[in-house]
Formats: sequence, structure tokens, C-alpha cells
Amino acid sequence: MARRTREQAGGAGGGTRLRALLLGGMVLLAFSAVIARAAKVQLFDVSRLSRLARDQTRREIEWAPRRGKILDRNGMPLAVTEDVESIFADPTAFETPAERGHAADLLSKALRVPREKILKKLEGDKQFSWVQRRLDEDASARVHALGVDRLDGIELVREPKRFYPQRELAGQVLGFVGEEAGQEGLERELEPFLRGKSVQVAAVRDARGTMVMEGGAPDPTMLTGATITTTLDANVQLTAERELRRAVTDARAAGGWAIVMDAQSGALLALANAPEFDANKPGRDPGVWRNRAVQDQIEPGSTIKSFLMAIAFEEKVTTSTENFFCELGSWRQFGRTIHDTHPIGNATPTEILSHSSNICAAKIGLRLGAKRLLDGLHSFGFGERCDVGIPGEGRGQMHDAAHIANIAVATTAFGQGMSATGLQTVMAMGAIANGGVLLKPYLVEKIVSADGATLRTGGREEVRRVIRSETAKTVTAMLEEVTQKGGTGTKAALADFRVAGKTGTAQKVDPVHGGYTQKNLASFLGFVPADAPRLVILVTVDEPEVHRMGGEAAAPAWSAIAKEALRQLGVSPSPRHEEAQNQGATAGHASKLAQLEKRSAR
Amino acid sequence: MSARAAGLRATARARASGDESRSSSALRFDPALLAAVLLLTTFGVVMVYSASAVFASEKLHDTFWFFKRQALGAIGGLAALFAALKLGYKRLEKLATPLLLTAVVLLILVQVPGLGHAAGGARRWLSLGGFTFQPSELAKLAFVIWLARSLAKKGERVQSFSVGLAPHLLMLGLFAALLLVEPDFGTTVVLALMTFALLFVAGAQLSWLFGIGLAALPVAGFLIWRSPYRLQRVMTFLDPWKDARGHGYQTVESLLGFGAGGAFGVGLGESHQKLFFLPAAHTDFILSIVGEELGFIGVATVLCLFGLLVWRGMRAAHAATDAFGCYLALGLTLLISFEALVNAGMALALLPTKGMALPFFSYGMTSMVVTLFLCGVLLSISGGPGGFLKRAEGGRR
Repeated sequence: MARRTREQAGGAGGGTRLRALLLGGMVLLAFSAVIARAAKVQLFDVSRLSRLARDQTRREIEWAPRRGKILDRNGMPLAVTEDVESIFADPTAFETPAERGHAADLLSKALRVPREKILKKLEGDKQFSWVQRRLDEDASARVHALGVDRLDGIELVREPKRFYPQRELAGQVLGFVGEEAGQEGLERELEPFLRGKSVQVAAVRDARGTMVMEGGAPDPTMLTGATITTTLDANVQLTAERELRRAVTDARAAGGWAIVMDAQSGALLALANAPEFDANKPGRDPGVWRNRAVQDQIEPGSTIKSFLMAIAFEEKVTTSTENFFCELGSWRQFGRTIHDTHPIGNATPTEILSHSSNICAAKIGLRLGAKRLLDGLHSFGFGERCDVGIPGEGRGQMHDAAHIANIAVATTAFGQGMSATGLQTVMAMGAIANGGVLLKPYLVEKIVSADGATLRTGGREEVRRVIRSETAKTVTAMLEEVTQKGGTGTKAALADFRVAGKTGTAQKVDPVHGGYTQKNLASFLGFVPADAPRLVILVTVDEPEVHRMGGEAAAPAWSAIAKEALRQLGVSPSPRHEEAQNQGATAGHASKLAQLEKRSAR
Repeated sequence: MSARAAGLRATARARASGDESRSSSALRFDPALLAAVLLLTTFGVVMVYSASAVFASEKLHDTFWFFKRQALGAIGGLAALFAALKLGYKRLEKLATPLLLTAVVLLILVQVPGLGHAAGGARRWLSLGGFTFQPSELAKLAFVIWLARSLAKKGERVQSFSVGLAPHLLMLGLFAALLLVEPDFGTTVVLALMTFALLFVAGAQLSWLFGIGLAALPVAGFLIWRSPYRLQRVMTFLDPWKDARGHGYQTVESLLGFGAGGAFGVGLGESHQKLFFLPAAHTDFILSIVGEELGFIGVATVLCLFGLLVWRGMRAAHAATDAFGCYLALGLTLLISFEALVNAGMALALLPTKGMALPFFSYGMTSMVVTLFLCGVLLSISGGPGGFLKRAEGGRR
């Protein structure tokens, strides 16, 4: 014992061991207290604390949907969605008025917006304020060049923006997209397909606000809307718009519209309106958004005579050899005088059409009577919507057969006292072109969802048979004469193709005072090639001042559109047409041959 | 288990042989103490990785940045541990005064601009070559060695004020002043507590200790009052939820971490709090990450390992043959356990927040090396056959 404690013999006091034990005990007690505290926090307060912890880290992020594309029939993009920059401000981040003013100066310069307007958006107590959303490329470039994005309190985010890469091409057909949804045209009609879905993603947020997604970003196909392939052909549409614009300018007209339809299927290849509308800059004037070819209900005028003839032949109230007396241009009947622009005496139905005699059309209409005339026109689709899939489509108005005055029967026969949309007349002419069947027009070839599933397809859809094919052939032959020498529509003729069609010159109804104004609508409606119809085309010029007649104002544009559209579709001149110019005698035989060839080509 | 049994057997054999001078004796240390140290070290390094990985990859683009350094610190620390064990604590007695002087010089140097390196509003680091080094870590070590030696030398005279109490309190005052300049309030408090505890064990009169304790309260109060951030911390401590997004932020986030862990934790590496919610997740508040990822089980394991360390540390004091060894073992044990207690108390909102590392766990190479060196010293004491306290006991009988 003594040896072991050689250094500190008697050093430690009596209480040292006890005090050491006491100290050790106290330290261990303190550790126990900490463990008890941990137990309280982790085992008893746990539900409250863990909820609080989860609340501050867990977030649901909503991923914005991405709008689907709209394409033409060949896949050329007509409407696409791209990410562009938006600017927002945190007004509370500016520490001095000078700082705010500096930011306003730069923003005003970059965005080319008055300084006061910007300044208003940078003031206030809220922490978020949009300065400008969806900048165009130039503004974005200026913002970066001026260093606006580096200012405190100014932030940039990327937001999807709708672009129409072909600019005003088919503007009224496509419509445009507002803050929330499609506002007009296909954008509005097909909103449920185009919109896409927003996706909620569970995410963990760290204290700096950076979101860490547990399952990664959502698959883009979950967000993206369907791709719409339209029946429009961008090239045909471009031609239609160009020629229509030229016709409108030449005639010093207010506007116009043109429709190009596939005669055999009802697919719309072009739907043009003048003046054009660029959906990239929709503006605030609903007038320019209007797709007048489909929405405007106007008196169709003389083009209706084609259908009158078809009904008359179908009902066998006349023959192609019968002679009508056209009263030399003026016929007083039921207390009203009906005039012809080209006064003639005796005329066969063919001549009535080619000279567009109102008087003889009235006589045929009266011979048919109200019921057969109106039923016939109804059968051709007048007075009912085509349901082409454009919002606000017009229906057109017709007299009721039971309560129609005789004079109204007479005027309806040449296209007055009733109204129709441009599209309705195209569809009715389509029935003559394809051998007697009224088709339903369509604009959407197919809708394919982002994951590749086909949601809808468009195709030929028959509404009803309107006339027998023999009647259609007879009327086609008569309509061909309109573009021949002596007809009203010679300017619609093409060198390489036979054209069947009808001019129309309708006086516009005065919407305020009733009666007719001095303004009119000049149109040409027809199809080509007449022997194997591929296209039905309508060109209407609204309120022309120089060339007031349909054959003058609309027919040249019609032939230009037809020529280019046939070229685009690769339709070669029919052999029959070439032969016909050489030897007219074998026409009937060759026509059959052409049809046979066509059938075998399919 | 078998290692421990072997160790006990070895110790028993050593005792039975009654020859502590025989250096060839198989095991000259307490294996249970070594096991506690190794477990704490391993656990700590793993937790540093888990707590710092996200922060490290974000800030330094290297997930393992902190882990690698901490592991290096642990390896260096283990080398120091075995060196201390091999050399034996007795050599330290001669080094006491030089070490103390070095520590004072370094504590002064840290205040010299250009040498001292400040971070987080405190000048605590010295840059030596590429390494930074905390003189306060060395200061703790130097102070405890010096105190143990001084108390051992004074023996019975500790009971007198002028010889037993005054010199130690003066030295404490010097160190406290130097540490408070940094400022390092936490280390100051731990040193003061340790000094009082050792004076208590060494036999200082309780009335004196109480009196000085009471006198120190106004001083501490003044120090807290004068420093706005300390006052703020105390106020926050009283009600952390009152200003949960402001000054109470750390405490509240720490509690949320513990709460989110519950009994069994969310799983190692799964902490959400370390995603920048909890500042100093891999340093001062690492226990909160343990609590979140491993739950109450994890926290209790950590605290029990510290408890084991305390028990075996006390036992080492018992095993000491001389007064210096006894006081040194006590001092070292108290140093580590007070640090752990203050840190855990702070993380669990039992104490106001102060910069205080959790030994073995908080990231810091200096702290790791010094802590393991302290443990090496403690281990070298633990192998003794006992004597000093037994003698005291015997004297009492």
C-alpha cells in the first residue's frame, strides 16, 4: 500500500473519493436529464413537431400544361408553343426611391413602355407584381443587354407562349390563345385537346426555396396537349390568301373570303379571309378575328341558281332544251320589278345560268313552287349548320314554306331573301361536283395525343344524297358553259382544266333601314376539273368599288387559286380537256375513259 | 464482449500481480473505455458525412469534402490516442508549464490580424500552412493538465484560499479573458465548470466555492447583458417559438428535426432538415440530424455512449495511482462530458444556443485530434492498478 502511494502519501482528503463519486453521479444524472428531454421531444411532442417539419419541407408543385401544336396536312407548324421570358418585380426589394426609379428607367428603355406605367408596377407593399409577361425576342434581348435582369427586385421567368410561325396564315381559322384558354377559331374549338394537363408533383423544399423533386420532373407527354393535324394545306392557303388580297385590293373592296375544298372528301384545304389577321398580335378588335367565310350569313345571290337548276332537273319541271322567255331584262311581277344585268330574250336553262338571268330563275322557282324549292335548298344544306368545327358558325336563314309570299319564292330562286354562309354554298356546290352527295366539311385530319394515341380522325362523311348523279352531270355541263365564251364567268376559266362554276353578284341588305344598299358582294363559286372534280372553290369579294360583278372581281382570283392549288396537289390536266379542244365529238367517250383512269389510279 | 472480458481479466491480473511497474503487462488500459471512444468516433464520422453531404456537394461540389477531412482528423486523432497511450500520462506532468505558456501565446496570437482567422464573427482560428487550427482546443488541454498537476502538488493545502483557490481562479480568469475576447463563451463556461468541479473533488471548501459561484453570477449576467447576441440567445431560449423565423430559428429547426425523427428516425441520410433548414447541421447541431435520421434510439445511443465514457472515465480516475493521474482523468472526463452536455442541452433547447461542438460528432479536425488525444491520455490512466483514491478511502477508514 505504502509503496503504491509513494508520491502523494496522505495527499487526498477523506472526502475526495466521495466527492468524486458525487461528481460522477451528477454528470450521469445530467446525461439522464438530456435523454429524458430527448424522449419528451421525440416521443411525446413528436406529432406536433413532425407535422411542422413536414409542412415546411413538403410542397406540391404544379407544372403548367403545355399546349399542343397545330399543323397543316403536311406537318408544317401553324401554331406552336415556346418558352419566352416574363418579367416580374418584388416592389418591397427596392430600398430607396432612387433604386426603384433606376429600375423603372431601365425597364422603360428595354420594354419601350412609358416610365410612369412601369413605376406604378414597382410600387406598393406586395412582394410580387408582373411587369410584363411573354416578352418578344427583341425585348428580351434588350432586357439582357441593359442588365435589367441583374437588378435587385427584378426577376425573369420563362413562360410558355403561343407562336404562329406562319404569321397571318390561316389566322382566323386558328384563332388565338388568351391568358387562360383559346379565344377564337380552332384554338377555342379544340381547347380540351390542345390544353394539356397540369401535373402535381410532390417535392421537397430546402430552406433556400430550391425545390427538389422526389420523382424528378414530370414526363413532358403528361403535360403536353394533343397535336392537331388540320386539313389545311399551307401552300394552298397561302395562295388563296395572296390572290384574295390581290382581288380585294384591285376592286378596292372592304374584304373578302375564299374557301378551297376537296370535292371528294369535304376536307377544307384553305379557308382565307381578308383582311388577314396575325394571331401573334391579336389586338382588341373582334372584327378582324372573324372567320367571315364561315360565320357571316349573307345573301348568296346568283350562285344559288346552280342549285335551283339542279332542283328543277331533279324534280323534272324542265328540260335542258326548254326555252324560257327572259323578258329582255325587266319583269314586273307581284308588284315588284325584277331586273337582269345582262338582258336576254329566249334562253335555255344553260343560257339562263351562263347569263345569270334573275327573271328566268324566278320563273323556274315559281314553277317549282315554294315547297319543292325550299325543300330542295334545305336538302342542299341551306338553313342548317355544316358543323365544320369553328366556333360561331352561321346557320343561314330561309323562308318557311308554309308562310312564304310568291315574290319571296321568286327572289329566293335567284338568291335574295335568304341567307347562307360561304361554306354552305361551297358544300352545296360540292354535292353537284361529286355526283349528288352533300358532304360534311371538316378541318381536322387527326388529333394525336402526346403519347401517340390517335384521339380523333377526320374523313369523308356523307350527309345525304341530294340529287341523282345524272342530274349532277347535267348541271355540271351547264355550269361549264358559264366559263365559256359568252358566259359571265369567263375569267375563271383555266387553260388546262375545264371549270364549272357560277358567278354571284348580290346586293347587300341594309341592316338598319331594310331593303338593299348600293354595296354588293361579288363572288365566284365553282369546281375543277369539271370532268373529274377535285376542288370546289369559292371566292367572295365584299363591297368592291371598281369591278362590281362577280365575274370581274372574284373570277380572276378564283382561277389563280385553282391553278396553283391544282399544281400543289399534282393534278395533271385531264386528257379529255386536251382532246376536247382538238376534237369535241368524242367528248362523252373520253369523259368515261378519264373516270376509269381515275378509278384505277386510286 | 470478449475483448472487454479479456481486458477485465488483464486488469485483474495486473492488480493481482501487484506490480504496476512491469511494463510487459498485456493490457495497460480499459478496453471498455477504448470501445466507447472508437464507437463514438465511428458514429461521429458517419454522421458528419450524412449531415454535410448535401451542403458539401452544393457549396464545394464534393459530397465527401467534410467526410474526408473528418476521417483524416479521426485517423490523426487515433494516432495521437495511441501515442498518448504508449507514452503514458506521466510525461505530461513535466510538459504542463510549457504547454500552458504555449496555449496562452497562441490565444494571444489568434488576435493578431493576419495570423488569426475569423469566421462567424469570432476570431478562433490560426492559419498554419494550409491548415487552420483552433488554439482554444489546445488551451483546454493545457489548462486541464496544468490544473491537475497544480492540485496534485498542493495536496491538502487546496483547502486554503490563498494557496488552494486563488492561483487556480486567477489562471482561469486569464484563460477566460483570452477566450472571451475571441469570443468563445462556450469553452469559457466549460473550463470554469471543470475547474470548480476539480476544486470540489480536490477538497476545496464548499463555502468558498459557493461564494465564488454566487459572485460569478453577476459577472456572467453582465457578460450576457453587454453582448446583444448573447442576450438575444437567452431570450430566445426562454421562448424559441416566439420568433421561430428569426432568432429562434436554429432552436426551432433543431427541435423540428428531433420531432421529425420520432422514436426510430426517418433513416440514415434521409434528413430533410439538413437541406439548409438547419444551419450548422454538420457542426453544432449535428445531434439534431442524429435525432431526425435515427430517432430517439439514435440520440439515446449517443448519450449512453457518452455516459459509458463518463463511467469509464471515473473508473480511470479510480485506477490512477497518483493524484495527478486522478485529477487529470477527472478533468478530461468532465471536459468531454460538459461539452457533450452543453451541446446536447442546446440542441434540445434545454440551454441557450452557444457555439459548442459535440465531441466526436461535430465537424472539426482540431477538435477531433485533441479529443482523441485526451482519450489516449485517459486510457493511459485507466490501466493503472489504482491507489490514490483507494488510499484516500483507506485513510478515511
